[in-house]
Amino acid sequence: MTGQRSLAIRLFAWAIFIICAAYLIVPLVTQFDYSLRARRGEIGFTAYANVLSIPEPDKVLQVQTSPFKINLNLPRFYSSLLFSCLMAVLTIIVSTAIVVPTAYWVHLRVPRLKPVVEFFTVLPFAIPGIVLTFGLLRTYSGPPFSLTNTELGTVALLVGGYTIAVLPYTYRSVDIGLRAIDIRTLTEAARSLGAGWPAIILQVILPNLRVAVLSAALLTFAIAIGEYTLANFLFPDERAFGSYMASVGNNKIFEPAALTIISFVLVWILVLLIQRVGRGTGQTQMTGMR
Amino acid sequence: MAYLELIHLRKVFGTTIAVESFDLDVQQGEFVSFLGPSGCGKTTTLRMIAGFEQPTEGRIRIDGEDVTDTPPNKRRLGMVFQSYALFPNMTVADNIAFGLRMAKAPAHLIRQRVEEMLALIQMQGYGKRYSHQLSGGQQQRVALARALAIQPRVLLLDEPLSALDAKIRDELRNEIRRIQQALHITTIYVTHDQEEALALSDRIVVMNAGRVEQVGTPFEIYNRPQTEFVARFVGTLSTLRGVAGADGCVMVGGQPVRLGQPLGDKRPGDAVAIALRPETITLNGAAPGDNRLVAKVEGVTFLGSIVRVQLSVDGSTFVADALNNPNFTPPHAGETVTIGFAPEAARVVG
Repeated sequence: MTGQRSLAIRLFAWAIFIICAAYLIVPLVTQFDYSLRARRGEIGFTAYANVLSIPEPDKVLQVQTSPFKINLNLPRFYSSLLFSCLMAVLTIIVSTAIVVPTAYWVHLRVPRLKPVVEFFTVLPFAIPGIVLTFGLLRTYSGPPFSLTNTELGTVALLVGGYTIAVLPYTYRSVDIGLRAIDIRTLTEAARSLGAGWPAIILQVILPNLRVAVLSAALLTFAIAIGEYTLANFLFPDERAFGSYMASVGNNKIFEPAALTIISFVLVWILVLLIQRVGRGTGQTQMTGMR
Repeated sequence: MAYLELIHLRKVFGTTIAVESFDLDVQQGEFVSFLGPSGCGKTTTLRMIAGFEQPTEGRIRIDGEDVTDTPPNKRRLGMVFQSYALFPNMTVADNIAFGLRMAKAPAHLIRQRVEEMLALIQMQGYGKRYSHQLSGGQQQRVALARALAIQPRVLLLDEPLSALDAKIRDELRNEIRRIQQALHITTIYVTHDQEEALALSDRIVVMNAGRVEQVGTPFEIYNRPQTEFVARFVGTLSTLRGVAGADGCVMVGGQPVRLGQPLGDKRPGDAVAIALRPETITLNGAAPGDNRLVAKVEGVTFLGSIVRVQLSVDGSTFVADALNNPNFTPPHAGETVTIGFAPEAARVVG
């Protein structure tokens, strides 16, 4: 009886696994299959070639007045990807600089405020992206802030918006990382050895949160690179990768499927790279004694 | 003037008094242990010296300088933690060098000092290892070297051996004392292990419920406890219950016990509790002038170097320790033995 029951549980578990795997894999396979059929009656990579290599001189960004307008005379796939990569990297830097010290301070000095901080960090889940976008635009497109009047200001607004949007992921990753190390004792050890707060954060805490910060960076990158709403409103010239993907989706037939597969592969390459970097000296998440 | 002065220290957490009226003078090069049960305030006092807790009242002076309001990173004290607290992202050498790097010492001096420290803890060749590649004992040695590398004014050790197994604990205990004496460094050592405190310290501060019970050398603390708490906490203490006799004796199960001290305000017939250390009791025989009591053997426990015999007299149970040797024949449970002890060994505790 017990044997039959355990067999039934195992079969049920496998069924759930197969359904979930199919839910994730089947759309990818069908997209891939569809992307190969750009030419009638042929299977080939024409859609990929269209996305990756066909120059569109009229659509290449030529403006040279700002470091944030990519001017490499590249097809828009590359220029938009580069722009969004740059925004993603800036978001990672800003969110790490904000989230790590904040989470560290909450853990160390005001642990009773953890639930409050956690509540604020999950707000972006509750607030729709369009609401966030209009809120930011209303607040920062006119006096006294008028950030959207300048290129740099608009970029700052985009990075700020992304930092808020990724907060649930970044804070949680760092929070989990902090729970795994005895930050109080490590901090006291560093203090007793003469370290000030910047040295403690940069030389003791941050290196021991490497895996957590890299996980947060990966999530930030994946979200920032495909984000559409905020990027499209702040940069209506379809400069960001998300806007470009939407534009291709609206105007092409087979290329959107190719673009989806390319994006998927890019993200996977990124995951593997980050995991490789995360392993570093052979240590995974550093854990102090608790 | 003392090198480290703790003056009327008091620490209150909310409504809980953690430390009350703590006064202590520590001389340069002295090894002082804070000994007491969990929650007695010993670690809080240490943390106040380190600067991790701000005293509610009182002052702390080191070498004449008032450091009460000085942040911990400016006090130049070395601290060793129970959990080692080595930085997991750094090698052994980098851990030892950390404090020197914070002090912006020149690179060649840091290298030289790291080598000196590795030699001091007898771990040359381990510099490139990470903490997770070391045993607990090795990690604690590195933590000690890291604390000493900055040449601290006072070395603070917070139960540094508690997480180690017995054999390593003994080895490292000797190591700590050797290094402390070699460097002649003023040391404050927090422990709840009386054996550690007795073996290591020049003086012991016994604490209970936030207060100092007694300050003295290990010999004084063990042999001349000033309070019942100290007597009971340090070493093993057995209690015999009897009634006060007419001639200053205590009658235990109808047998007279003479004391080395007066009975105080006890009147004949009053209940009296007397305390005995196990090692002061001899089995099967008593020296001239000693008390003699007939006791029943309740059990025998072999502890290696000693044999502990559980005895009872008229309902009072107590223990006697006999040194183990090949010629010693321990009594058996149920036997009756005559025990002896000097009148001075018995103390009235109630």
